Amino acid sequence: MGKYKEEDYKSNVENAWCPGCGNFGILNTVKQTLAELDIGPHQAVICTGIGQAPKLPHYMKVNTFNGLHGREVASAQGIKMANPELEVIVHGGDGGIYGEGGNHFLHAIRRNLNITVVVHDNRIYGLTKGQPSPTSELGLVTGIKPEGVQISPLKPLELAISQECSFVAQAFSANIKENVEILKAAILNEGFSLVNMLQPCITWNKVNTYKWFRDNTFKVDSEHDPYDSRATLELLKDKLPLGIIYKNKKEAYDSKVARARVFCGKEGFNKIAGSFG
Amino acid sequence: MELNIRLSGAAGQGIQTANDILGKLATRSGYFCYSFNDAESRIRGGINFNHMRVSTLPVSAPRERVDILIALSSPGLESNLSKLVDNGVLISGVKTETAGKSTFELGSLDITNKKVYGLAAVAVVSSILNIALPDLEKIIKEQFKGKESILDINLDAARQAYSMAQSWTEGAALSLNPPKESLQQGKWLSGGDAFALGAAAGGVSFVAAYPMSPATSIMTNLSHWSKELEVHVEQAESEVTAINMVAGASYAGARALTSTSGGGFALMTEGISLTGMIETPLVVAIAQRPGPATGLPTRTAQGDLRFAIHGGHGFFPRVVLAPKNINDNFTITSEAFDLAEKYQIPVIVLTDQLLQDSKQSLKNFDFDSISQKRYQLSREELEKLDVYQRYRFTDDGVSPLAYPGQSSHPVVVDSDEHDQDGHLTESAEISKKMAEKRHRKLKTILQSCKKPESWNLKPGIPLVLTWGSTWGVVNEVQKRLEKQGIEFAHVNLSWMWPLPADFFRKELEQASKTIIIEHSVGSEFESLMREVTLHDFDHAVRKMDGRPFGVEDIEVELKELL
Repeated sequence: MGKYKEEDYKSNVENAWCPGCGNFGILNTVKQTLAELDIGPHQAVICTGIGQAPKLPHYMKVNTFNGLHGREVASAQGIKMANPELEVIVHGGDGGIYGEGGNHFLHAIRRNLNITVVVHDNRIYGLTKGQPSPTSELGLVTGIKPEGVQISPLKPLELAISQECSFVAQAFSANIKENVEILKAAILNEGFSLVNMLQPCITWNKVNTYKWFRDNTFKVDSEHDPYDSRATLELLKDKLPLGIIYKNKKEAYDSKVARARVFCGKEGFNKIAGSFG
Repeated sequence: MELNIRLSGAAGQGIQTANDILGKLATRSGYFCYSFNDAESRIRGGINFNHMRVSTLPVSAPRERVDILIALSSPGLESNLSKLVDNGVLISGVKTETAGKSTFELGSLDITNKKVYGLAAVAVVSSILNIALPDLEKIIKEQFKGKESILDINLDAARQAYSMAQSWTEGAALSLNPPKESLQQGKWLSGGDAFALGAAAGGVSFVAAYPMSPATSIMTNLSHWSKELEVHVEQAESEVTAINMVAGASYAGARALTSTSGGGFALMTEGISLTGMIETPLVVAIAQRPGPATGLPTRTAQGDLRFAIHGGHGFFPRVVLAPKNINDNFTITSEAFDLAEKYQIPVIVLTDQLLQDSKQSLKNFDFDSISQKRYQLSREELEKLDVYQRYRFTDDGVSPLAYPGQSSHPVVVDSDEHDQDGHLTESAEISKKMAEKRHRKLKTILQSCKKPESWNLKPGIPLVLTWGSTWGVVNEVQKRLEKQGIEFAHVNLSWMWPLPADFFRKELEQASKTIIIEHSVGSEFESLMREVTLHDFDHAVRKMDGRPFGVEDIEVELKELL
C-alpha cells in the first residue's frame, strides 16, 4: 500500500448501469487492485469496446481507450506494443470478447503480450436488450429465442487452456476481496491473462442470478496445481471453479517489440536507401 | 533513344531476378530505366513478363513496343512475338524455328542448367548496350553473395553469353550509348521500396497489416529493414485486427501504418470511422487492384477512389493522397504521416499495382528533405495544466495532442460521442459542439490542399485530366505529340480529398476541350470532378482489363480525341 488510494481513481461521470448490476462490484475491484499495486491513473490503460462492461473506465479516472464493439483486444495489443510500460487491461463482455471479437481473443492468446483481459460474463447481451450470448446455456429463454437457446455455449476457459494461455482465472463479481487478489495476480503475470468474471444480469438473465452463481460455483482448492492442464480440465467438468485455475510459463511477446515508438534515424535510413545502387 | 526489352517466361523461371540485375546494371552504367511487370496470381508456371525500358532520357510509363524479346518459355514467346518490331531481335531459351527473327539461341551455349538462362540473356543485352564485362561480373558477384555454390555457374553462363553476343551483328545493331547527362549514383527501386522508405522518413514506428497483393511489399520491406528503420511490423490475423491494432498503437504514441488493397480496406472501414471519431493519427495504404471482390489480384486499377474518400460510416475529416510515380511514393507517403498527426486524422495513400511493382532509376532519396516534426504537447506543457482535455474545443478544430503515460494526466478517448474530457455523452449541446469541432478541421485541412500539378496549362487548348499513376503515360504522350505539332494541357491530381467547392473550375472552363482519363470500369474520378467543379467533360477514357495503360494506346486514343 502506498502512493494511490481508491479515491484517486474517482470519476464524476454519471453512472448509467442498472442499480444492482454486478459491474459495480467489478469497478470497485479494479480501483482497489490498481491502488494496491501502486499503478496510477496515468500508468494504466483500460481498453474497452461497446456494451455495459465497456463503460467501466468512464466511471473511474484512468487512461481510457473505449474503441469498437468486440475490437478491444485488438486495440489493447496495439497499445501494449507501442508502449510496453503501460499496464493494459481490457474490460469487455461475453458478447464482445467471445462473439464479435472471438478471432482477436484466439490470436491474442497466441501473441501472449503482457495484458490482462477481464470478461464480464453474464451469459446474456445487456445493452442490446437480452439476446443470448456465446456463453448462454442451452434452453435459456430470451426475447429472440422464446423456445430457448438451441446451440451449445462456448467454453472460454477450456478454449484458453487448450491454447496454453499464460494465465486463466475465474471470478464471481460479488466477491470483491477475493477478486482483488485474482486481478492482482493476473496483472502481475507476465503474459496474456484471462479473467472470466461471472456476474448476474439482473435485468435480462433471470436464470443465472446471484443465488444461482452462489449455488453453482466453488473456490479452487489450495492444493490445485494450475500448471497441470489435465487436472484443470477435470476441475471444469461440473460446477464453476473460482480462483486461479490455470497457468503456463512462457515468455511474453513484449520483449520482442522494441522499436514501436522510435523514429527512424538518418544513418539507418541512408543505409537502406543507399543499398539500391 | 531507348531499347524496350521484354523478359517473358513462366513464374519461377527467374525473370524477375534477371530484370532486377539488368535494371541495376543499366542504371549504374548511366541509363534511365523503367520496368513494369505482368504476372499471374500463381507461384509457378503460367505466362509472366517483365518489360524493361532502357533509355537515354528519364522514362516512367509502360510501353507496348518490344525491341528485344527474351523468351524463356514457348507460351511466353508466342504471346509476345507480335509485339516485337521489324528489326527487333529474339533471345530465346526455347526452340524458335518459326520466329522469323534474328535469334540468339541460349541453347547453343555450353550450359546444362536452364535456370541460368535469364542471367545469360542479361549478359547478351549487356553486350548490346556496350556495358563492360567486369561491370556485369561485379553485379553478379553481389547478387550471389553468400551463395557461392551457384555463383560460378552464373558467372560462367554470363561470360559465355557475353562473348558470343559480341559477334551477333543483328543484336549489336540495336546498340545504344548512355546519355552524357545521367543520374549520379542512381538507384534502382520499386514503388513498394519507395513507399516503405517514405514511411520510414515520415517516422513510422508501428505497422500492423495482413498480406494482400499488391500491398504486401510495404509490410515485407519494412519488416526486412525493421532494425535500420526503427519500426515494428506485426502481421495481424485479419484486416479488422490490423486497423484496430494501429488505432491503439497510435493512441499510445506510435506513428502507425496499415497497408492493404480494396478488399482489405472493406474490412477496415469500421476502424477508419473509429480513428475519425477518436481523432488518432493514422496512415492507411491502399494499393489498388481491379475488383469487385477478388477481381484480378496481381493486376492494376484505379477503382477505389470513391471508396477511399467515403469508406466508413458517419462523417469525419480525412485526407486522400495519390502518388503519381515512384518518387512521389516516397515524398507523399512521408507527407501523409505529417498530415495525419498535424490534423489527428486518417490519411489514405492510394497507390496501385502498377505503381507498387514497377521499378525505376532514381536519384537517392534525401532524408533531410522530410519534416520530422511531432505535434504532441511536451511533458512540461502537460504538467502545467490542471486538467488535460483530449477533445478541447479550439478554433481550428484540432485539440492539443497527448499520449497516455506521457504525464500525470490520463488520456481518454471514446468511440461514442464524447465531451471534451473524452467521456461518453448524450447531451445534445455537447454532441453538436463536438461534431462542429471535428467538422472545423475540414476547413483547416483545406488550407493544406495543394493545387494540382500541371504541364503546359494555358487557356484555349485541350486539357487532359488524370490522377495518380495514370500521370506517367499522359506525361510521355504529351511530349511525343508536341513533336508532332499537337498540343494539350495536362493536369494531374495527387491531393484527391478534401477538395474546395470551386476547385479548378476556371481552368476547366477555359480549355477548348476536356478529356478525363482513369484506369477504372466506372467513373469514380469523373463523377468526383463533376461534383466539385460542376464541369461536364467532353471525353472520358477508361480501362477494364487490369493491364496498365501503355504509351502507344494513349497516344492513339488522344490523337483521335484531340
